[in-house]
Amino acid sequence: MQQRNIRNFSIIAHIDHGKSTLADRLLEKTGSLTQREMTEQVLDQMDLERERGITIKLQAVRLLYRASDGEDYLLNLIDTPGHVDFTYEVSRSLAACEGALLVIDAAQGIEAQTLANVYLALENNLEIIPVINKIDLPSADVEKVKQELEDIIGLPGDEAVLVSAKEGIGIEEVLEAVVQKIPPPAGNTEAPLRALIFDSHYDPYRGAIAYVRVIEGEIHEYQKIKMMSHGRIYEVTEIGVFQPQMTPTGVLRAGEVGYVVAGIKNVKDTRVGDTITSAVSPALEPLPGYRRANPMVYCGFYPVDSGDYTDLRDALEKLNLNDAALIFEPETSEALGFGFRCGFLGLLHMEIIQERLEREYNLSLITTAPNVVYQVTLHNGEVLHIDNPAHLPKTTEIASIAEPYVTARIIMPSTYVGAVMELCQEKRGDYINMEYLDAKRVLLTYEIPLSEIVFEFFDLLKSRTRGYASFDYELLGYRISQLVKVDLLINGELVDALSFITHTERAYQRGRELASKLRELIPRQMFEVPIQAAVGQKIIARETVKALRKNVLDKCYGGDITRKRKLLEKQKAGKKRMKQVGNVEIPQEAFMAVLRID
Amino acid sequence: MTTAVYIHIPYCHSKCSYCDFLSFAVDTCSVTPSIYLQALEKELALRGEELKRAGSQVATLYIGGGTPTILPQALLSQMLISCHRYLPLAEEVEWTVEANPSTINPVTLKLLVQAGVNRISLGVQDLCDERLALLRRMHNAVQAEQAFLICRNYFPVVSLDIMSALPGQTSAQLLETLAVVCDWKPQHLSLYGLQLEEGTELAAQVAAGIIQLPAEDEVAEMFVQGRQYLQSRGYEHYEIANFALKGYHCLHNLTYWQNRPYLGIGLGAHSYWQDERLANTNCFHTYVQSLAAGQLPIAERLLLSKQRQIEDTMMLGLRLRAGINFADFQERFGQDLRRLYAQQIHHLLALGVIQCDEESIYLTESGLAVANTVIAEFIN
Repeated sequence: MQQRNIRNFSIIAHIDHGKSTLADRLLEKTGSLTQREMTEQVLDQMDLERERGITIKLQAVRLLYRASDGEDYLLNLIDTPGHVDFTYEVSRSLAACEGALLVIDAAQGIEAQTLANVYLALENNLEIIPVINKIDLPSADVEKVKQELEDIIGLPGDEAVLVSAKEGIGIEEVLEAVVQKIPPPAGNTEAPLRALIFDSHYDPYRGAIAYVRVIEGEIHEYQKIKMMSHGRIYEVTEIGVFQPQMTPTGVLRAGEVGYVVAGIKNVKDTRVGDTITSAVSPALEPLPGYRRANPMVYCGFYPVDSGDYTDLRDALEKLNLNDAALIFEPETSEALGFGFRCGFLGLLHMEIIQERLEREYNLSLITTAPNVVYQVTLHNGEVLHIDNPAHLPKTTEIASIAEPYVTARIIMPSTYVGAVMELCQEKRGDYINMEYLDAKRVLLTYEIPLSEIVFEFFDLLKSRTRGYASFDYELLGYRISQLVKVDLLINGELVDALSFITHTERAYQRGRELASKLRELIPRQMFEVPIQAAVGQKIIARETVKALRKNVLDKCYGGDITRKRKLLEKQKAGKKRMKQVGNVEIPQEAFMAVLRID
Repeated sequence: MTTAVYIHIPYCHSKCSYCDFLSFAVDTCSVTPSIYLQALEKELALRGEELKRAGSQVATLYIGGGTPTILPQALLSQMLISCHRYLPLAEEVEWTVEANPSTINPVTLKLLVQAGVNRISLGVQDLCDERLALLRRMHNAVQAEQAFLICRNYFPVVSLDIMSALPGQTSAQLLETLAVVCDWKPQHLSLYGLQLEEGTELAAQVAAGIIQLPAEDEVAEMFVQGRQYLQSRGYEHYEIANFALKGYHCLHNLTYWQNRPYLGIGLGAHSYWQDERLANTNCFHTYVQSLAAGQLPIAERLLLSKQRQIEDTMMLGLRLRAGINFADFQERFGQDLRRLYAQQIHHLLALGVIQCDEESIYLTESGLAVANTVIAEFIN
């Protein structure tokens, strides 16, 4: 197909604004799938994605469309993950396109994620086609959304395509807009090969499969290729396009989107954002914008049963095959034994991995509270990156501690502005800006420490705005803060897995709250259990789990010893779900308790 | 060799609200006492033969229920005769019968005494009439006292069952009850804490919020204070729930706690016999039919491994204040208990819930209240 008849585009939208449904309709309309192959929301393939209604993994699909001008067009749709954790992946997939459909819910209007997505699209010089979806809803207010488009984003509201993906209204118009408004790819087929990897996945039989957009030149079967970030060379064994199943084509030319199989053993070698070039006549410069995806949030995973350690390692390795952003390293905790320190793109990413480990690999895990990476400068000038609070050096050695900050954009009905400002204030946010989107909605911009976002920010925002606020953030950089480590001592023993780093002014309150939360969570034992929170040597809070007062079976049922034994066995089984730390049995959820204070 | 025999009489006037023992209201039961006792006699015969073949004597015989004294006198005496006829009773047999205070009358008692019954266990439970009614007991406080006074004239040993942790009960009230019954001077006392059992009327009432049980701390108080009070009145605390004047321990129950063999006869009765735990059927009809066919009515049998026997010995023996004797354990299992459980003992000693002297291991005062938690440490 001629370049001028190719269109590469993605769909960007705030969560629940109907991105996946629209994608499904486009597939259906272009006959890319037969009715039998259609299940709801084809592009969200993982169970978890369907359950949560979010896209985690990128997908790409090729649509053939005969436009009203009578010509056939090849439309490459690249679906993007809809969550802030995966912003980098979104930005790479946008870089593989010339245009984007910006889907906005006709009843909800522009939300925080809509904005974040628009900024990403603009950074990549994409042609943006606004699509107002769900126009069939009784609460739809198309005129208002058009106004918002003009006022907030500066797009002509009248050019928005009006759609109900659910009812199949306006789908044809969307396809026409894609053909007419999005420019065809412009890359030179004769130039040295440069293909952008925008995603990859691991296939147990064929190795890592790179999803690419060829920007310049062409790539074909049996060609020797080179990854420009690390220089390794591979031979292409298969190349093709997504229909949406992988279909070999033998070649991909500038402007095209497809996949490359080249006997690559690990997804780490097909890094998102990397450039593939020819090994024989390589391009001089890689495509711009590549960076390694750095984990933002860390936590410890420990098997409840220490015998499951190797199973956990194997499971992490398997997940890692398909998820290069997941980082894990063995670590030991005095309290929890052997486990892994794992790094994630964000909280959602963490939850997904945790859930998959438990669900798909049947592991029972203790997850420690997530934390960010701190930059610690010592008096001797050395700079450390601390991803585990337990590893923070002694106060006397520390010159300063810096923590990651994010720019948070929150959109909410104006009645909740006070509540949200209060929340941001509590979360140590710095006020940056407030903008009225219309008479009733406000966009607040704050700079907030990431660690505060990790501590239940989403839930609090939701409850204080009754779910009417939307929120997005991007990493801003590191800033020096007054931070201290709070340790927890249970029965006089320091439980390293419960240590956390917090702002000096919060240490007292958080320490007290966590101690009190632990008192509720730790069941009564055969003896009194003191719980203390400490900063350095100083005890800042104390609670006591009273000793168990009565647990005795009085009666023996006419010699029915078996029954008595069963009761004891049941009791014993309950104990198995706890972690023995010193003499104390601590339930799994206690290690996450630090998240539930506030 | 001697053994213990338990005979189950699964009839009551009516069901007490907290009870989940295998027992049925006698008037509405399709299998009448007369049919049941015919079957029971056959089981006695089969088991008696077995005992005689093994050359074993019955050192303790315990007839429990239900309410054995609810049986019509003719049937009761027939059963007592059967016991003599089929069981190789030891000369000094400890023979106990359970009774409800409402069923006590001189004729019944005389029958029992003449047969050789030398202990009677009276289910007094409480002396608060209101609460007795609430629990659907058949008697009141006055009847309980009268029953005791009559029994005292017939039996050398009278044992009373008293309950704590009852709805609305305070530790002060429990102590009052204990003060009264101690004045009666029974030789033996059992002090049980009420346990809420699934499927009972009381459990439903508690679930529905109609009745409230005392809080854990109050229950623990009753347990401690009740024990201390009985000790102050001269009763030796020899097992978690049992107290006796010197020389009046219940040997039959000791058999259970020492994990020694016993035979259970009757509907749903349990046996520990030749390293097997056996349970008779709970179904009246199956029970009657099996025995009519000359078969023992056993529904479940479980052969205990040595490990399981050891664990059971720990589980039961630790309930005794005297605990488990190392020499006995060594003789029985060929292993040193201290070595076998070194880790657990080390841990529990540190917590102060057990104590070891040169001869035995036993629970401390503080270990008593949490006996289950302590004992669970010895179970795999």
